[in-house]
Amino acid sequence: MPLIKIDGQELEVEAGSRLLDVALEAGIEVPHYCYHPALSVVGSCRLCMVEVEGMPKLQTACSTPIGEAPPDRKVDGKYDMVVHTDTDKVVAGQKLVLEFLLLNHPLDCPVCDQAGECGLQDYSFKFGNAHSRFDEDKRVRAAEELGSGVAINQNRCIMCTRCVRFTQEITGTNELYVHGRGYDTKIAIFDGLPLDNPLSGNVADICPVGALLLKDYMHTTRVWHLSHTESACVECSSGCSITVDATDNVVRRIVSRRNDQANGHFICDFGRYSFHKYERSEFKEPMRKTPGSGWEMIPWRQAYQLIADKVAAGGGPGAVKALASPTLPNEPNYILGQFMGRLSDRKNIALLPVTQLSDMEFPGGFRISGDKGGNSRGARDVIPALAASVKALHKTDTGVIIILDGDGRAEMKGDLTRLMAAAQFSVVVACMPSEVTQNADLVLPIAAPYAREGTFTNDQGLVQWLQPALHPPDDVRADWQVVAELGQQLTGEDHLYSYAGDVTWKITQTTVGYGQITRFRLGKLGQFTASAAG
Amino acid sequence: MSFKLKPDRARKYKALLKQYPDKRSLALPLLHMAQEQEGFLSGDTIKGVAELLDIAPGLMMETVTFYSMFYLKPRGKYLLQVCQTLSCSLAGADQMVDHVAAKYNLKVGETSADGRFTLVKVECLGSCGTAPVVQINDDYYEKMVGDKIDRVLDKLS
Repeated sequence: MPLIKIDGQELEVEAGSRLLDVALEAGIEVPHYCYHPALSVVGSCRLCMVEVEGMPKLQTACSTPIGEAPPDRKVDGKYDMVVHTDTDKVVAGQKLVLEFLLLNHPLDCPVCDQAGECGLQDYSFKFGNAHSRFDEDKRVRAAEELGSGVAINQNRCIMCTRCVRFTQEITGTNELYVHGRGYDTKIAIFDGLPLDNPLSGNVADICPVGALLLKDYMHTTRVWHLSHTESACVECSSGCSITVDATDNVVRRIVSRRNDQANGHFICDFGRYSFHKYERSEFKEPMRKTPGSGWEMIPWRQAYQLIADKVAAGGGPGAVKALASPTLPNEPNYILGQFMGRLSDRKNIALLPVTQLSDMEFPGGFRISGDKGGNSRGARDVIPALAASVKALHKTDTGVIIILDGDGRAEMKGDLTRLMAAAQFSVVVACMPSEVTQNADLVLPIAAPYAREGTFTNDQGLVQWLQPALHPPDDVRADWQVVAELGQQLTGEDHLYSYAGDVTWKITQTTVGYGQITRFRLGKLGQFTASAAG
Repeated sequence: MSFKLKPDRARKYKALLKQYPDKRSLALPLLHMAQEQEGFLSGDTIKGVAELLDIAPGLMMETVTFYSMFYLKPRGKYLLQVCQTLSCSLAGADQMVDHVAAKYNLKVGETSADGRFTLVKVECLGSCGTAPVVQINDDYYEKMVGDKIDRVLDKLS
């Protein structure tokens, strides 16, 4: 393997590695704009220039591969390459490139959404000049809409073409292209073919400056006021890693977070904008259906008492049925499975059916799962006694039915409608109104997705920790807590959990394949279950 | 209106196809053919060419806008390209431009009202010995001093 030296640091690297990757991995900051690890290399921004001993000109680190030098050509007798990233020549080069990139840039940082997380700001601050020698008028061009979700501020663009390569290589949809030449170059769409693919929001994430903007987030907050919570997307079974950005207990935007175990660098627009679904009409308190037509808010204690009465009147605990949720974390599903197992010897629990589409795959390898449950695999893993289908629960009479509706992604049809109609009393655990809650007798409110905590298992068996970005309303409880309290009510046994991680620990102790998983090891990128890893 | 190559050009295109390992390499020849046929490259024409070559319309547009000899807007029947480089300029090219502009009431870059002439200035045509020079469509007209340009243009219908 080639031995190289970067700024005095000796590194042994794979032949063929990119110099830029190697430097970044070693913690040496080499500024770059056009280079993105998920995209092809074009070497057009000229900012990642470094000095390589023996090469007369500065080299772009992104397009310089590392190879083995012949024995007689090694530097100091042993190095295959000796690189400097901080010599006078490099520093002067960086200053020049940054001065050029800022020639026509409007420097409208006070009103720019990117300010605070901008590559131009950061690199100008670290590597650039305080002054420009450009005295002419700056080129001024109108902002344009590229698609329903993305707009471009042409003045801020530095023509790195990351976005163009994204639509060519990752989505394969080719909406964006470079229009014109030289001074007149700009990013554009072909007339009538807008940037409207399901991954389009990513171009704003990968834009290193404030040129490509999410219309949804435009002029919403200053980025330095956002709290960043590293979590996972729960909208489908792909389980992409995300960062949830919030202020004032409101989600403002969701951005992608690299996780090579789950779809790499990007997220889809369904996940990106999903938080809007949960903004409105969250439940605040338990609600029972009144004989009239409306709903009545009741305290939790009264709600549980009501359930106990209905169970007693409806054939006892043995006639209780339950539907676990593919949209809720493993923790509530696990507790549900545990106590339902204690109520009857017969199968009395099934998985709530949610929308199943076919997977959507993109040329760059990105996959949107057709299973809109999100945690279907996890629910099956932690409830071994799951019945094959809702239909199987019809075999015996149903007294009280407990439905974990979660995010309300189930459709009221077929066996589900029949089961709810057959039940004497239905308790639905949900965060927001849905077709299922409309048909419930009692609704127990739980925290909405971005206020939720626990583990999610994607369809590949990757377990990730959901980190809550929001506080739920005062009287709304955690999903695992509500299910645990239900269990206590029905079995008479105390529940032993004081926080979500307690339940997670219990899951890892008792669930096949989850033995090696710990909250600590899950970290920010998650861990595969033993069955998935093996 | 969708774009379709006329039979003689379609035959030429088919013959060319055999000469290239990759259809995409035909982008420039095909664009030139399309422009010859249609007079300029409209969005539909570019889309049609892109479809023939299995290239995204955007990418085709990238190629079209990179080169200065593709026209996105209709132009006159005759394209007057007046050399504006040193020799021609000294020999009276500027007067020629002003004269034509005044006579047909147009500015540089515009097309005359009757649709006959489009006037543009270009860099060196490489014929300094016969300055001033104007290229009208594919032909050079040399030593265009005085009212010579009028006689040339009047003959063009």
